[in-house]
Amino acid sequence: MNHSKTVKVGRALLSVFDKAGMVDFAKGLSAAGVDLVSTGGTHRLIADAGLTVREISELTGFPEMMDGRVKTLHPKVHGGLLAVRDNAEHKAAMDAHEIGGIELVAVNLYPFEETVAKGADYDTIIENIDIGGPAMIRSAAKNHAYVTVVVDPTDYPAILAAIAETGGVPFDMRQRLAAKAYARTAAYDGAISSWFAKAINYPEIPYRSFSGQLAEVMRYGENPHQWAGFYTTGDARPGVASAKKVQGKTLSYNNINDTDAAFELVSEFDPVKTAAVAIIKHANPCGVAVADTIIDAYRMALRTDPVSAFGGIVAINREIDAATATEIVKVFTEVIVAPSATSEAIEIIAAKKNLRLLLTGGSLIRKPTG
Amino acid sequence: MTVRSVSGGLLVQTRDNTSVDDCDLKVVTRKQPSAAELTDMKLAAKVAKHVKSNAIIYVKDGATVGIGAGQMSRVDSARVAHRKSIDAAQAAGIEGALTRGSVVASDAFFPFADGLEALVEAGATAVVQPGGSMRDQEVIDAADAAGIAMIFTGMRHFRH
Repeated sequence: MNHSKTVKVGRALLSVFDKAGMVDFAKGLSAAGVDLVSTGGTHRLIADAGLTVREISELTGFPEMMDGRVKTLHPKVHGGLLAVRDNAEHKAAMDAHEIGGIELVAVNLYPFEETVAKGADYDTIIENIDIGGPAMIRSAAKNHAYVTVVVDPTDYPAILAAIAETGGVPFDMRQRLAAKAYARTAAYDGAISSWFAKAINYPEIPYRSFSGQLAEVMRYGENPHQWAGFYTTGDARPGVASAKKVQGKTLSYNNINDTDAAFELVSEFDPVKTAAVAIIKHANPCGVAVADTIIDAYRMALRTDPVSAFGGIVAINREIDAATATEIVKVFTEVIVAPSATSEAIEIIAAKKNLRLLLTGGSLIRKPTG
Repeated sequence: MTVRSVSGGLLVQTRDNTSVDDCDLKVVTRKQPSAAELTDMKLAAKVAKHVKSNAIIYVKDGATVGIGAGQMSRVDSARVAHRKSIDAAQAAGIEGALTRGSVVASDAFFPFADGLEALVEAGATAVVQPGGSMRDQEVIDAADAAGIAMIFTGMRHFRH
Protein backbone atom coordinates (compact mmCIF):
# COMPACT_ATOMS: atom_id res chain seq x y z
CA MET A 1 0.00 0.00 0.00
CA ASN A 2 0.91 3.59 -0.65
CA HIS A 3 1.89 4.11 2.97
CA SER A 4 4.18 7.03 3.23
CA LYS A 5 3.10 9.23 0.42
CA THR A 6 1.35 12.52 0.63
CA VAL A 7 -1.14 12.49 -2.23
CA LYS A 8 -1.56 15.58 -4.36
CA VAL A 9 -5.22 16.28 -5.03
CA GLY A 10 -5.86 16.69 -8.75
CA ARG A 11 -9.61 16.39 -8.79
CA ALA A 12 -12.21 16.64 -6.03
CA LEU A 13 -15.81 15.47 -6.10
CA LEU A 14 -18.05 17.50 -3.80
CA SER A 15 -21.58 16.29 -3.10
CA VAL A 16 -23.05 17.24 0.25
CA PHE A 17 -26.46 17.49 1.87
CA ASP A 18 -25.13 19.52 4.82
CA LYS A 19 -23.52 22.45 3.05
CA ALA A 20 -21.84 23.94 6.12
CA GLY A 21 -18.33 25.14 5.29
CA MET A 22 -18.59 23.96 1.69
CA VAL A 23 -18.05 27.30 -0.04
CA ASP A 24 -14.84 27.96 1.88
CA PHE A 25 -13.64 24.43 1.32
CA ALA A 26 -14.30 24.64 -2.42
CA LYS A 27 -12.57 28.03 -2.56
CA GLY A 28 -9.54 26.61 -0.78
CA LEU A 29 -9.35 23.61 -3.08
CA SER A 30 -9.84 25.74 -6.15
CA ALA A 31 -7.08 28.10 -5.03
CA ALA A 32 -4.80 25.08 -4.66
CA GLY A 33 -5.45 24.24 -8.31
CA VAL A 34 -7.85 21.37 -7.69
CA ASP A 35 -10.32 20.54 -10.49
CA LEU A 36 -13.81 20.63 -8.96
CA VAL A 37 -16.67 18.31 -9.89
CA SER A 38 -20.00 18.45 -8.12
CA THR A 39 -23.67 17.50 -8.11
CA GLY A 40 -27.03 19.28 -7.97
CA GLY A 41 -27.37 21.72 -5.11
CA THR A 42 -23.71 21.59 -4.15
CA HIS A 43 -22.80 22.48 -7.74
CA ARG A 44 -25.14 25.47 -7.73
CA LEU A 45 -23.71 26.68 -4.42
CA ILE A 46 -20.11 26.47 -5.60
CA ALA A 47 -20.85 27.97 -9.03
CA ASP A 48 -22.76 30.83 -7.41
CA ALA A 49 -19.68 31.53 -5.31
CA GLY A 50 -17.94 32.28 -8.60
CA LEU A 51 -15.79 29.15 -8.79
CA THR A 52 -15.18 26.99 -11.85
CA VAL A 53 -16.90 23.67 -11.24
CA ARG A 54 -18.27 20.96 -13.51
CA GLU A 55 -21.45 18.93 -13.09
CA ILE A 56 -20.90 15.22 -12.51
CA SER A 57 -23.01 14.50 -15.63
CA GLU A 58 -20.30 16.16 -17.70
CA LEU A 59 -17.81 13.66 -16.33
CA THR A 60 -20.01 10.60 -16.73
CA GLY A 61 -21.77 11.57 -19.95
CA PHE A 62 -24.94 10.40 -18.26
CA PRO A 63 -27.72 12.68 -17.04
CA GLU A 64 -28.84 12.65 -13.41
CA MET A 65 -32.00 10.55 -13.41
CA MET A 66 -34.82 9.02 -11.37
CA ASP A 67 -35.18 11.98 -9.00
CA GLY A 68 -31.46 11.88 -8.31
CA ARG A 69 -31.50 8.24 -7.26
CA VAL A 70 -28.93 7.61 -10.01
CA LYS A 71 -26.29 10.26 -10.58
CA THR A 72 -22.94 9.14 -9.19
CA LEU A 73 -23.37 5.36 -9.54
CA HIS A 74 -21.20 5.25 -12.63
CA PRO A 75 -17.87 3.57 -13.57
CA LYS A 76 -16.33 6.96 -14.31
CA VAL A 77 -16.97 7.95 -10.70
CA HIS A 78 -16.23 4.66 -8.97
CA GLY A 79 -13.38 3.79 -11.35
CA GLY A 80 -11.86 7.16 -10.61
CA LEU A 81 -12.13 6.47 -6.89
CA LEU A 82 -11.13 2.81 -6.77
CA ALA A 83 -8.31 2.56 -9.32
CA VAL A 84 -4.96 1.56 -7.88
CA ARG A 85 -2.84 4.23 -9.46
CA ASP A 86 0.38 2.20 -9.37
CA ASN A 87 -1.18 -0.86 -10.99
CA ALA A 88 -0.50 -1.10 -14.74
CA GLU A 89 -3.74 -2.94 -15.49
CA HIS A 90 -5.79 -0.42 -13.55
CA LYS A 91 -3.97 2.38 -15.33
CA ALA A 92 -4.69 0.75 -18.70
CA ALA A 93 -8.37 0.43 -17.81
CA MET A 94 -8.53 4.08 -16.84
CA ASP A 95 -7.00 5.06 -20.19
CA ALA A 96 -9.17 2.68 -22.22
CA HIS A 97 -12.40 3.94 -20.66
CA GLU A 98 -11.35 7.55 -20.25
CA ILE A 99 -11.65 7.44 -16.48
CA GLY A 100 -9.98 10.31 -14.70
CA GLY A 101 -8.73 9.86 -11.14
CA ILE A 102 -10.58 11.51 -8.27
CA GLU A 103 -8.30 12.11 -5.28
CA LEU A 104 -10.73 13.70 -2.87
CA VAL A 105 -14.40 13.12 -2.13
CA ALA A 106 -16.45 15.26 0.22
CA VAL A 107 -19.81 13.64 0.80
CA ASN A 108 -22.37 13.79 3.54
CA LEU A 109 -25.63 11.97 3.44
CA TYR A 110 -29.36 12.50 3.14
CA PRO A 111 -30.58 13.13 6.70
CA PHE A 112 -32.01 9.69 7.40
CA GLU A 113 -31.70 9.89 11.20
CA GLU A 114 -33.26 13.37 11.33
CA THR A 115 -36.10 12.30 9.04
CA VAL A 116 -36.94 9.40 11.38
CA ALA A 117 -36.63 11.65 14.45
CA LYS A 118 -39.11 14.08 12.88
CA GLY A 119 -41.65 11.29 12.68
CA ALA A 120 -41.88 11.24 8.88
CA ASP A 121 -44.00 8.66 7.09
CA TYR A 122 -42.65 5.39 5.72
CA ASP A 123 -42.20 6.52 2.10
CA THR A 124 -40.44 9.75 3.10
CA ILE A 125 -38.08 7.81 5.33
CA ILE A 126 -37.28 5.35 2.53
CA GLU A 127 -36.63 8.24 0.13
CA ASN A 128 -34.10 9.60 2.64
CA ILE A 129 -31.94 6.50 2.47
CA ASP A 130 -28.88 7.73 0.62
CA ILE A 131 -27.43 5.20 -1.84
CA GLY A 132 -24.96 7.05 -4.03
CA GLY A 133 -23.35 8.88 -1.11
CA PRO A 134 -22.42 5.83 0.99
CA ALA A 135 -21.24 4.05 -2.19
CA MET A 136 -18.81 6.88 -2.97
CA ILE A 137 -17.70 7.11 0.66
CA ARG A 138 -17.00 3.37 0.80
CA SER A 139 -15.11 3.35 -2.53
CA ALA A 140 -12.99 6.33 -1.54
CA ALA A 141 -12.32 5.00 1.96
CA LYS A 142 -11.24 1.60 0.63
CA ASN A 143 -8.78 3.33 -1.67
CA HIS A 144 -7.44 5.69 0.97
CA ALA A 145 -3.97 4.78 -0.27
CA TYR A 146 -4.70 7.31 -3.01
CA VAL A 147 -7.93 9.03 -2.08
CA THR A 148 -9.03 11.37 0.70
CA VAL A 149 -12.60 10.94 1.91
CA VAL A 150 -14.34 13.66 3.93
CA VAL A 151 -17.69 13.04 5.60
CA ASP A 152 -17.58 15.76 8.24
CA PRO A 153 -17.41 19.51 7.48
CA THR A 154 -15.32 20.07 10.62
CA ASP A 155 -12.47 18.28 8.82
CA TYR A 156 -12.32 20.77 5.92
CA PRO A 157 -9.93 23.29 7.53
CA ALA A 158 -7.35 20.64 8.51
CA ILE A 159 -7.36 19.23 4.98
CA LEU A 160 -6.88 22.66 3.43
CA ALA A 161 -4.10 23.34 5.91
CA ALA A 162 -2.37 20.07 5.00
CA ILE A 163 -2.63 20.83 1.29
CA ALA A 164 -1.23 24.31 1.84
CA GLU A 165 1.60 22.99 3.95
CA THR A 166 2.60 19.77 2.17
CA GLY A 167 1.01 20.05 -1.26
CA GLY A 168 -1.35 17.19 -0.52
CA VAL A 169 -3.00 15.05 2.13
CA PRO A 170 -0.67 12.86 4.23
CA PHE A 171 -1.30 9.15 4.65
CA ASP A 172 -2.09 9.14 8.37
CA MET A 173 -4.71 11.82 7.79
CA ARG A 174 -6.24 9.80 4.94
CA GLN A 175 -6.31 6.73 7.20
CA ARG A 176 -8.15 8.48 10.01
CA LEU A 177 -10.58 10.06 7.56
CA ALA A 178 -11.22 6.64 5.98
CA ALA A 179 -11.82 5.05 9.40
CA LYS A 180 -14.22 7.85 10.24
CA ALA A 181 -15.94 7.42 6.87
CA TYR A 182 -16.65 3.72 7.47
CA ALA A 183 -17.83 4.52 10.99
CA ARG A 184 -20.23 7.05 9.46
CA THR A 185 -21.67 4.67 6.87
CA ALA A 186 -21.89 1.89 9.49
CA ALA A 187 -23.81 4.21 11.83
CA TYR A 188 -26.01 5.27 8.93
CA ASP A 189 -26.84 1.69 8.01
CA GLY A 190 -27.28 0.89 11.69
CA ALA A 191 -29.87 3.65 11.95
CA ILE A 192 -31.64 2.31 8.86
CA SER A 193 -31.77 -1.29 10.09
CA SER A 194 -32.85 -0.25 13.60
CA TRP A 195 -35.64 1.89 12.20
CA PHE A 196 -36.69 -0.89 9.83
CA ALA A 197 -36.83 -3.57 12.55
CA LYS A 198 -38.96 -1.28 14.69
CA ALA A 199 -41.20 -0.11 11.85
CA ILE A 200 -42.17 -3.64 10.85
CA ASN A 201 -42.05 -5.02 14.41
CA TYR A 202 -39.21 -7.45 13.79
CA PRO A 203 -37.31 -7.45 17.12
CA GLU A 204 -35.64 -10.81 16.51
CA ILE A 205 -33.85 -9.50 13.40
CA PRO A 206 -30.73 -11.71 13.09
CA TYR A 207 -28.17 -8.90 13.09
CA ARG A 208 -28.21 -5.81 15.28
CA SER A 209 -26.16 -2.71 15.10
CA PHE A 210 -26.29 0.17 17.51
CA SER A 211 -24.72 3.43 16.61
CA GLY A 212 -24.06 6.77 18.15
CA GLN A 213 -22.22 9.97 17.61
CA LEU A 214 -19.41 11.01 19.90
CA ALA A 215 -20.71 13.78 22.13
CA GLU A 216 -17.85 13.89 24.56
CA VAL A 217 -14.70 12.09 25.61
CA MET A 218 -14.73 11.85 29.38
CA ARG A 219 -11.69 12.26 31.61
CA TYR A 220 -12.12 8.59 32.47
CA GLY A 221 -14.70 5.85 32.89
CA GLU A 222 -16.26 4.32 35.98
CA ASN A 223 -12.72 4.34 37.42
CA PRO A 224 -9.69 6.49 36.61
CA HIS A 225 -7.89 3.72 34.70
CA GLN A 226 -10.80 3.24 32.26
CA TRP A 227 -11.21 5.17 29.00
CA ALA A 228 -14.73 6.51 28.38
CA GLY A 229 -16.72 8.39 25.80
CA PHE A 230 -20.36 9.40 25.54
CA TYR A 231 -22.02 8.59 22.23
CA THR A 232 -25.52 9.89 21.68
CA THR A 233 -28.04 7.95 19.63
CA GLY A 234 -30.23 10.83 18.51
CA ASP A 235 -33.22 9.40 20.39
CA ALA A 236 -35.80 12.13 20.92
CA ARG A 237 -36.47 10.95 24.51
CA PRO A 238 -35.83 13.93 26.83
CA GLY A 239 -33.07 13.03 29.24
CA VAL A 240 -29.39 13.20 29.97
CA ALA A 241 -28.38 12.88 26.30
CA SER A 242 -30.69 15.64 25.11
CA ALA A 243 -30.05 17.92 28.08
CA LYS A 244 -28.29 21.22 27.83
CA LYS A 245 -25.64 21.88 30.44
CA VAL A 246 -26.21 25.38 31.73
CA GLN A 247 -23.21 25.42 34.02
CA GLY A 248 -20.70 23.42 36.01
CA LYS A 249 -17.69 21.27 35.28
CA THR A 250 -17.66 18.43 32.76
CA LEU A 251 -19.89 15.46 33.50
CA SER A 252 -18.14 12.21 34.32
CA TYR A 253 -19.15 8.74 33.19
CA ASN A 254 -20.74 8.08 36.59
CA ASN A 255 -22.52 11.45 36.55
CA ILE A 256 -24.12 10.66 33.20
CA ASN A 257 -25.20 7.20 34.31
CA ASP A 258 -26.60 8.49 37.59
CA THR A 259 -28.29 11.49 35.99
CA ASP A 260 -30.02 9.16 33.57
CA ALA A 261 -31.32 7.05 36.47
CA ALA A 262 -32.46 10.18 38.28
CA PHE A 263 -34.36 11.77 35.41
CA GLU A 264 -35.94 8.47 34.35
CA LEU A 265 -37.26 8.08 37.89
CA VAL A 266 -38.90 11.49 38.19
CA SER A 267 -40.31 10.98 34.71
CA GLU A 268 -42.64 8.40 36.26
CA PHE A 269 -44.60 11.35 37.62
CA ASP A 270 -46.67 13.62 35.42
CA PRO A 271 -45.55 17.19 36.23
CA VAL A 272 -49.08 18.49 35.61
CA LYS A 273 -50.44 16.32 38.42
CA THR A 274 -47.64 16.44 40.98
CA ALA A 275 -44.17 17.75 41.72
CA ALA A 276 -41.61 14.97 42.12
CA VAL A 277 -38.00 14.98 43.27
CA ALA A 278 -35.51 12.12 43.34
CA ILE A 279 -32.04 12.17 44.87
CA ILE A 280 -29.73 9.56 43.37
CA LYS A 281 -26.43 8.05 44.44
CA HIS A 282 -24.63 5.37 42.42
CA ALA A 283 -27.74 4.98 40.21
CA ASN A 284 -29.92 4.14 43.24
CA PRO A 285 -32.42 6.55 44.72
CA CYS A 286 -31.73 7.60 48.29
CA GLY A 287 -34.88 9.65 48.53
CA VAL A 288 -37.96 10.26 46.39
CA ALA A 289 -41.00 12.35 47.18
CA VAL A 290 -44.07 13.82 45.53
CA ALA A 291 -45.81 16.96 46.78
CA ASP A 292 -47.69 20.03 45.59
CA THR A 293 -44.46 22.01 45.31
CA ILE A 294 -40.95 20.95 44.36
CA ILE A 295 -39.45 22.51 47.47
CA ASP A 296 -41.63 20.32 49.71
CA ALA A 297 -40.84 17.28 47.59
CA TYR A 298 -37.11 18.06 47.84
CA ARG A 299 -37.19 18.44 51.63
CA MET A 300 -39.10 15.19 52.04
CA ALA A 301 -36.85 13.31 49.63
CA LEU A 302 -33.77 14.56 51.47
CA ARG A 303 -35.09 13.40 54.82
CA THR A 304 -35.12 9.74 53.71
CA ASP A 305 -31.35 9.41 53.83
CA PRO A 306 -29.48 12.71 54.24
CA VAL A 307 -26.17 10.90 54.73
CA SER A 308 -26.32 9.20 51.33
CA ALA A 309 -27.71 12.30 49.61
CA PHE A 310 -24.36 14.03 50.16
CA GLY A 311 -22.71 14.31 46.73
CA GLY A 312 -25.85 13.05 45.03
CA ILE A 313 -27.80 13.96 41.95
CA VAL A 314 -31.12 15.75 42.21
CA ALA A 315 -33.78 15.25 39.55
CA ILE A 316 -36.94 17.32 39.41
CA ASN A 317 -39.94 16.86 37.12
CA ARG A 318 -40.88 20.56 37.00
CA GLU A 319 -39.16 23.89 36.47
CA ILE A 320 -36.70 24.72 39.25
CA ASP A 321 -37.61 27.87 41.14
CA ALA A 322 -35.43 30.13 43.26
CA ALA A 323 -36.63 28.78 46.62
CA THR A 324 -35.86 25.18 45.69
CA ALA A 325 -32.50 26.12 44.18
CA THR A 326 -31.59 27.89 47.44
CA GLU A 327 -32.50 24.75 49.37
CA ILE A 328 -30.57 22.37 47.11
CA VAL A 329 -27.34 24.36 47.13
CA LYS A 330 -27.20 24.02 50.93
CA VAL A 331 -26.33 20.34 50.44
CA PHE A 332 -23.24 19.23 48.47
CA THR A 333 -24.79 18.11 45.18
CA GLU A 334 -23.05 16.93 41.99
CA VAL A 335 -25.79 17.47 39.39
CA ILE A 336 -29.25 18.99 39.18
CA VAL A 337 -31.43 17.87 36.27
CA ALA A 338 -34.86 19.26 35.44
CA PRO A 339 -36.93 20.19 32.39
CA SER A 340 -36.23 23.90 32.93
CA ALA A 341 -35.22 26.51 35.49
CA THR A 342 -36.19 30.10 36.21
CA SER A 343 -33.49 32.71 35.59
CA GLU A 344 -33.35 33.39 39.36
CA ALA A 345 -32.78 29.70 40.05
CA ILE A 346 -30.01 29.59 37.44
CA GLU A 347 -28.35 32.57 39.14
CA ILE A 348 -28.52 30.94 42.58
CA ILE A 349 -27.03 27.72 41.27
CA ALA A 350 -24.29 29.68 39.47
CA ALA A 351 -22.83 30.56 42.87
CA LYS A 352 -21.70 26.91 43.08
CA LYS A 353 -19.19 26.77 40.26
CA ASN A 354 -18.74 22.99 40.16
CA LEU A 355 -22.41 22.08 40.46
CA ARG A 356 -23.78 21.05 37.08
CA LEU A 357 -27.21 22.18 36.03
CA LEU A 358 -28.76 20.17 33.21
CA LEU A 359 -31.99 21.19 31.53
CA THR A 360 -33.67 18.56 29.40
CA GLY A 361 -36.09 20.99 27.78
CA GLY A 362 -39.02 18.70 28.41
CA SER A 363 -40.56 15.91 30.39
CA LEU A 364 -40.64 12.35 29.32
CA ILE A 365 -43.90 11.02 28.06
CA ARG A 366 -44.06 7.38 28.92
CA LYS A 367 -44.82 5.27 25.86
CA PRO A 368 -46.42 1.85 26.06
CA THR A 369 -43.64 0.18 24.02
CA GLY A 370 -40.12 0.86 22.81
CA MET B 1 -34.42 -0.80 23.11
CA THR B 2 -31.83 -0.92 25.86
CA VAL B 3 -28.43 -2.52 25.43
CA ARG B 4 -25.79 -3.77 27.80
CA SER B 5 -22.61 -5.58 27.02
CA VAL B 6 -21.37 -8.86 28.42
CA SER B 7 -18.19 -10.71 27.45
CA GLY B 8 -18.62 -11.57 23.81
CA GLY B 9 -22.12 -10.22 23.45
CA LEU B 10 -24.77 -7.58 23.69
CA LEU B 11 -27.95 -8.03 25.67
CA VAL B 12 -30.86 -6.22 24.08
CA GLN B 13 -34.33 -5.72 25.48
CA THR B 14 -37.22 -3.33 25.23
CA ARG B 15 -37.28 -0.61 27.85
CA ASP B 16 -39.35 -1.24 30.99
CA ASN B 17 -42.11 1.21 30.14
CA THR B 18 -44.70 -0.26 32.44
CA SER B 19 -46.20 1.33 35.51
CA VAL B 20 -48.26 0.25 38.48
CA ASP B 21 -50.94 2.57 37.07
CA ASP B 22 -51.45 0.06 34.22
CA CYS B 23 -51.70 -2.96 36.55
CA ASP B 24 -54.75 -4.85 37.62
CA LEU B 25 -54.36 -4.55 41.39
CA LYS B 26 -55.60 -7.42 43.52
CA VAL B 27 -56.03 -7.18 47.28
CA VAL B 28 -55.06 -10.62 48.63
CA THR B 29 -55.45 -10.00 52.37
CA ARG B 30 -58.48 -9.73 54.60
CA LYS B 31 -57.54 -6.13 55.29
CA GLN B 32 -58.14 -3.63 52.49
CA PRO B 33 -55.66 -0.76 52.10
CA SER B 34 -57.04 2.72 52.78
CA ALA B 35 -57.15 5.27 49.97
CA ALA B 36 -54.14 7.08 51.49
CA GLU B 37 -52.22 3.82 51.74
CA LEU B 38 -53.03 3.00 48.15
CA THR B 39 -51.66 6.35 46.95
CA ASP B 40 -48.41 5.78 48.83
CA MET B 41 -48.21 2.17 47.61
CA LYS B 42 -48.36 3.35 44.01
CA LEU B 43 -45.56 5.83 44.68
CA ALA B 44 -43.50 3.08 46.31
CA ALA B 45 -44.06 0.75 43.35
CA LYS B 46 -42.99 3.43 40.88
CA VAL B 47 -39.79 4.04 42.84
CA ALA B 48 -39.13 0.28 43.16
CA LYS B 49 -38.83 0.02 39.38
CA HIS B 50 -35.77 2.31 39.54
CA VAL B 51 -33.95 0.67 42.47
CA LYS B 52 -31.38 -2.10 42.00
CA SER B 53 -32.75 -5.46 43.04
CA ASN B 54 -33.55 -6.60 45.59
CA ALA B 55 -35.57 -3.43 46.07
CA ILE B 56 -37.69 -2.68 49.12
CA ILE B 57 -39.23 0.80 49.31
CA TYR B 58 -40.98 2.20 52.36
CA VAL B 59 -43.19 5.24 51.71
CA LYS B 60 -45.18 7.48 53.99
CA ASP B 61 -47.19 10.61 53.14
CA GLY B 62 -45.83 10.96 49.61
CA ALA B 63 -42.16 10.42 50.44
CA THR B 64 -39.80 7.52 50.73
CA VAL B 65 -38.83 6.80 54.34
CA GLY B 66 -36.59 3.82 53.66
CA ILE B 67 -34.96 2.36 50.56
CA GLY B 68 -33.32 -1.04 50.57
CA ALA B 69 -31.26 -1.61 47.43
CA GLY B 70 -28.91 -4.08 45.87
CA GLN B 71 -29.00 -6.76 48.56
CA MET B 72 -28.79 -10.37 47.51
CA SER B 73 -31.70 -11.38 49.70
CA ARG B 74 -35.02 -9.60 49.95
CA VAL B 75 -35.19 -9.89 53.72
CA ASP B 76 -31.85 -8.06 53.98
CA SER B 77 -33.11 -5.20 51.79
CA ALA B 78 -36.11 -4.92 54.12
CA ARG B 79 -33.83 -4.81 57.17
CA VAL B 80 -31.26 -2.43 55.67
CA ALA B 81 -33.94 0.11 54.80
CA HIS B 82 -35.48 -0.17 58.27
CA ARG B 83 -32.07 0.24 59.94
CA LYS B 84 -31.25 3.30 57.84
CA SER B 85 -34.63 4.85 58.63
CA ILE B 86 -33.78 4.77 62.32
CA ASP B 87 -30.72 6.92 61.61
CA ALA B 88 -32.74 9.23 59.37
CA ALA B 89 -35.38 9.59 62.08
CA GLN B 90 -32.71 10.54 64.57
CA ALA B 91 -31.29 13.13 62.15
CA ALA B 92 -34.79 14.56 61.73
CA GLY B 93 -35.38 14.59 65.49
CA ILE B 94 -38.04 11.91 65.35
CA GLU B 95 -38.12 9.04 67.79
CA GLY B 96 -38.08 5.46 66.47
CA ALA B 97 -37.96 4.62 62.79
CA LEU B 98 -39.36 6.65 59.87
CA THR B 99 -40.79 3.39 58.55
CA ARG B 100 -43.34 3.19 61.34
CA GLY B 101 -46.80 3.45 59.79
CA SER B 102 -45.43 3.31 56.24
CA VAL B 103 -46.40 1.23 53.22
CA VAL B 104 -43.98 -0.88 51.24
CA ALA B 105 -43.31 -1.91 47.65
CA SER B 106 -41.14 -4.87 46.70
CA ASP B 107 -39.77 -5.14 43.14
CA ALA B 108 -40.43 -8.89 43.09
CA PHE B 109 -42.30 -11.48 45.11
CA PHE B 110 -41.31 -12.60 48.59
CA PRO B 111 -39.87 -16.10 48.32
CA PHE B 112 -40.53 -16.71 52.02
CA ALA B 113 -42.61 -15.11 54.74
CA ASP B 114 -39.50 -13.78 56.54
CA GLY B 115 -39.22 -10.76 54.22
CA LEU B 116 -42.77 -9.75 54.94
CA GLU B 117 -42.25 -10.27 58.67
CA ALA B 118 -39.25 -7.90 58.50
CA LEU B 119 -41.57 -5.24 57.01
CA VAL B 120 -44.08 -5.75 59.78
CA GLU B 121 -41.27 -5.38 62.30
CA ALA B 122 -40.32 -2.08 60.66
CA GLY B 123 -43.89 -0.88 61.20
CA ALA B 124 -45.37 -1.26 57.70
CA THR B 125 -49.15 -1.34 57.44
CA ALA B 126 -49.57 -2.30 53.76
CA VAL B 127 -47.47 -3.99 51.07
CA VAL B 128 -47.56 -3.99 47.27
CA GLN B 129 -45.65 -6.68 45.38
CA PRO B 130 -46.04 -8.68 42.15
CA GLY B 131 -46.92 -12.03 43.75
CA GLY B 132 -46.23 -15.24 41.91
CA SER B 133 -44.17 -17.12 44.48
CA MET B 134 -44.76 -20.82 45.20
CA ARG B 135 -45.18 -19.68 48.79
CA ASP B 136 -47.53 -16.75 48.14
CA GLN B 137 -50.05 -18.33 50.51
CA GLU B 138 -47.53 -18.39 53.36
CA VAL B 139 -46.78 -14.71 52.73
CA ILE B 140 -50.50 -13.85 52.60
CA ASP B 141 -51.02 -15.77 55.84
CA ALA B 142 -48.21 -13.81 57.49
CA ALA B 143 -49.78 -10.52 56.33
CA ASP B 144 -53.18 -11.59 57.66
CA ALA B 145 -51.60 -12.68 60.94
CA ALA B 146 -50.03 -9.23 61.28
CA GLY B 147 -53.30 -7.54 60.24
CA ILE B 148 -51.79 -5.63 57.33
CA ALA B 149 -53.05 -5.17 53.79
CA MET B 150 -51.34 -6.59 50.72
CA ILE B 151 -51.81 -6.02 46.99
CA PHE B 152 -50.51 -8.10 44.08
CA THR B 153 -49.69 -6.26 40.84
CA GLY B 154 -48.60 -9.18 38.65
CA MET B 155 -45.74 -6.97 37.38
CA ARG B 156 -42.13 -7.60 38.34
CA HIS B 157 -39.47 -4.87 38.10
CA PHE B 158 -36.04 -6.45 38.45
CA ARG B 159 -33.22 -4.02 37.79
CA HIS B 160 -29.62 -5.21 37.73
